[in-house]
Amino acid sequence: MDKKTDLLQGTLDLLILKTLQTGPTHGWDIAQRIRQVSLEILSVNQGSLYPALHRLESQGWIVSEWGASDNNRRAKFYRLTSVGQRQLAAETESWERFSRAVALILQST
Amino acid sequence: MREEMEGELDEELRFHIEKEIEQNIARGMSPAEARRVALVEFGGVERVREECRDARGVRLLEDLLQDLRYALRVLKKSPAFTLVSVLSLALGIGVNATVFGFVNAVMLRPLPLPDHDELVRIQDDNLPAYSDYLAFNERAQVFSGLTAYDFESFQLTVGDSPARADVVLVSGNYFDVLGVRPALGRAFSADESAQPGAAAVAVISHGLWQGRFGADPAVVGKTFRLSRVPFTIIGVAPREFTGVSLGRRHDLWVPFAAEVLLRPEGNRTVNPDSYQVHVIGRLKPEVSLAQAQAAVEVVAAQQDQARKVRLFTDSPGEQPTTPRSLSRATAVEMGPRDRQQSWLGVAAVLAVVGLVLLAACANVANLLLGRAAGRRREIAVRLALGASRQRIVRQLLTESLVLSLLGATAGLILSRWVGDLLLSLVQRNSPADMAAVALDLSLDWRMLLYGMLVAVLTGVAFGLVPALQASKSDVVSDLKAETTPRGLGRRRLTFRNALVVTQVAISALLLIPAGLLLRSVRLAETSGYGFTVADRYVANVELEALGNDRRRQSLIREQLLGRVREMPGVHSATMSQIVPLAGGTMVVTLEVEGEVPGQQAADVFTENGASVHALDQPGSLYLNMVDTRYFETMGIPLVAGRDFSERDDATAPDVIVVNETLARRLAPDGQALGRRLIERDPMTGKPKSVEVVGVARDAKYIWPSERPRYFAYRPFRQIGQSHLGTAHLIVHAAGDLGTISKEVRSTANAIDPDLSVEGVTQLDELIERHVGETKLVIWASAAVGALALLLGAVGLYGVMAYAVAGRTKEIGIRMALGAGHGRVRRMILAEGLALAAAGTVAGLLISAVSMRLMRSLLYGISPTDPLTYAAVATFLTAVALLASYVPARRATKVDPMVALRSE
Repeated sequence: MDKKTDLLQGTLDLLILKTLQTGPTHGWDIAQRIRQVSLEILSVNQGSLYPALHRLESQGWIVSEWGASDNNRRAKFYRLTSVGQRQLAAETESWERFSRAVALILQST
Repeated sequence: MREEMEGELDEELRFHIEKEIEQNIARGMSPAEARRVALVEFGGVERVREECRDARGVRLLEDLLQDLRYALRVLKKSPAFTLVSVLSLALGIGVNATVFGFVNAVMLRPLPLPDHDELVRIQDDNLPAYSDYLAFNERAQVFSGLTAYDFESFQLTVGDSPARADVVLVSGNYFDVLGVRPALGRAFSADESAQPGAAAVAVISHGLWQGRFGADPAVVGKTFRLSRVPFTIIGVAPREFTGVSLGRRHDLWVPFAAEVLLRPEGNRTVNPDSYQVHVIGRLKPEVSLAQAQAAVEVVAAQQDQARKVRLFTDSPGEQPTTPRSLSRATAVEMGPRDRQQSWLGVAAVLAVVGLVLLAACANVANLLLGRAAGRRREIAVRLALGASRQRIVRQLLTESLVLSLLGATAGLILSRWVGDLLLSLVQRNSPADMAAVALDLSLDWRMLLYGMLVAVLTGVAFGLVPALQASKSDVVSDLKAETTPRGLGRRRLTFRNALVVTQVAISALLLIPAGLLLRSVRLAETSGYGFTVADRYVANVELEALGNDRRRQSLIREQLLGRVREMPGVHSATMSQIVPLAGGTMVVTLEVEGEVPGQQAADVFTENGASVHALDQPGSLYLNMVDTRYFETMGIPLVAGRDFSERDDATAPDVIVVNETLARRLAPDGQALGRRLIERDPMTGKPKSVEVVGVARDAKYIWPSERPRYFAYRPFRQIGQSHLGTAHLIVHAAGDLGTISKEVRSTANAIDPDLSVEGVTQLDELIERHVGETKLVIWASAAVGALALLLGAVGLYGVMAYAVAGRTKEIGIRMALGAGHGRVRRMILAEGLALAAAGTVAGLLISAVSMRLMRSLLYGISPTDPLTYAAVATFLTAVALLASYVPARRATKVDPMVALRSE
């Protein structure tokens, strides 16, 4: 059980950071965006979303702020920090390298 | 702060779920359906919360509290286990805390005076001389006040009654430096401190005020005589102040200047170099200990130099250096070397009681391991649900720590109670001098810190291994609830069994010496000491208090003896330096005229051809100074020669009476009379030849069950003047203690009002008091042995209970096959007894070997005395039976059907 979460954890972090790059928002919205943008392929396990958000915040890559949602209810908004930006760039690069490597192996006979 | 975050988290999650619900409703679900789906989709809310909290790192403190609450619940569910464990720990920790409590009171606590952190002592292994004190006081600028004191004893006469008093000679600023204000009156003025003429003043102690002055509120201004010099009382010390020296009586305080009046021929004012003092002082607030030490060393070096110059010597080896070590003042006055040795002694005692604590920990560990079997399922479930092993271990350790903290608290309270008890026993048994043992055994921060430390250490010690073992469980098999623990059955030699065997062996090792010692003392008491105890009375005669004229002392002594012999009812009377078996010895190296010293072989003494015992200290000669008719008064027959007479004085040839053992040594052929020994002057070492004129029957001199020794007697009249001081008047008389006491005292008073003859006691009571002190130590050892046995019994119970619990299936089968209750019970008891027997045999064997070391104290019985060993073995077996009984009974309660089905 632990091993699976690890892999997902890294990927989830990346997806969250990327999603926040377009602009600050709250947790529910992040989940929605990931689902929509990935064309319903990726559906975030909601149980791991919030722990991931809190972890990213304690690591300093995102910060949170209470604000008003679209129907004026209180919600916690998350925003990417500059450190988070750099982290996103690094993670993106390493993910692309990884996927290229996997593709190469799958292509060979 | 935490609540805030909790609330925020809740709100955040609620928001999410509500949005989901909205979406579901928008998709067409009913509100109830929408809610259900949303929650299911979300997953376990609690889990999410936990993980969020995890991610934040707030976890630790919360986990701890949770562990704590869980631990308390678990412990409450098994009250028997908790009680037994806490009691075991309380006993083990309590014993250690008692020892530490005494160490704390004596060596660590500061004095109970204002600003005690400023108080320091100056002393090395020697004390400074009075001149050194004056130099320190004058030139070391680091003290806000430095005072000196020393102890003397003088005759104190109030009205018509004289008695010995313990006087503290002090520098004038004593009370000011210590911060003590007299309860009545005042302390010394500058004049009184400096001028002998004005110094005949005293501050008396609370005890003296009540004892000799009847707590008279108008006592200030009254006078008394100290060694025949009139003194005026200027103050009374407060009740709580008993000086700064542990174990010393303080009857009154008097300035150093007054010593000139009390001892004109030699005192600190006239010869400041020849007399020592204790020095204690107060550091200035801004001065550190190191700075003060440096300053003191400068002055000490100057003193060394000055002393060299005065004595015209250049070689450093000839002179002890000026004491200069500064240390924070505690109740004891000890130089660095004494302090070191004390700590070694303390370490030894702590090691012994540490073993007891170890035994207690072993017990609790055993019990925990036993319980772990029953909790396998619970732990397996938690592991399956995702708890990490670390978490489980932490949880179990918390339980252990709770147990040990409870045990430590109980142990600290117990130690306080036991400590007070011991103190009162010591005070009751010891002579009046020791009445000044005012130890503060209350629980200060040091004791609490010690308690906490011990609690944590023991908790980890007995809890870690069981915790690690329990968390390592095989989840699958444990969930299947197999109750047979792995490896039981034929495996007899487990760690836990070994622990129990060790505990039983330790108790045997402690009980046997105690038993042997007590038996030997009892045997000696019944077989007689070699002198008669009945109708003998002893009194202390303070010759020193009569002033310094030795001839006058001698005269008065002889007068007293003469008059007492004529008292009605008195059969005979004598005087003696030492009372046998009541403390005090004088020992010199045995030198026989005509022999080269050191050529003597190890002496062996045969008793009627029976077993051969070695002598106690064959190279030494024990001495007593006695007056005429000593042997008659004490009922010691003279087997050859004669007693001392009035003619054996300083002008006549030196004579000596020896005991049979020595006589046999001097003359195996039997003719000891006329042989000569060599006596050396203690000051000059000059040899003197003394002739043996009598042989006295052997007696016991120092300890009721001692081995034979060389003993000899010398007459008072022929002793160099330096030996006189306190002598004992021994009277053989018919009558009761009260009458004899009164008569002796009035006779003494009639001769000289300052002659004090005190403490008339019956001889057997005196001996009992002295022997009783050591008996106390023996009983203490027996008590510790009993304690170890108690712990061993608990351990045995634990092991047997565990064994029974694990073997329900086996027992069930046996019973199904026809074994009756009795059979099952016997089986379990036999196993318990086997363990105990192993321990007993081991303990007895080791004792048999090691008791040989105690031979010199065990005269009359063999170190392998069968009666004692049998008694101890029986006692241990009985306790083992008791401890195994409950598990044995529980074994018979096993229902075979249930046991077989539980697989």
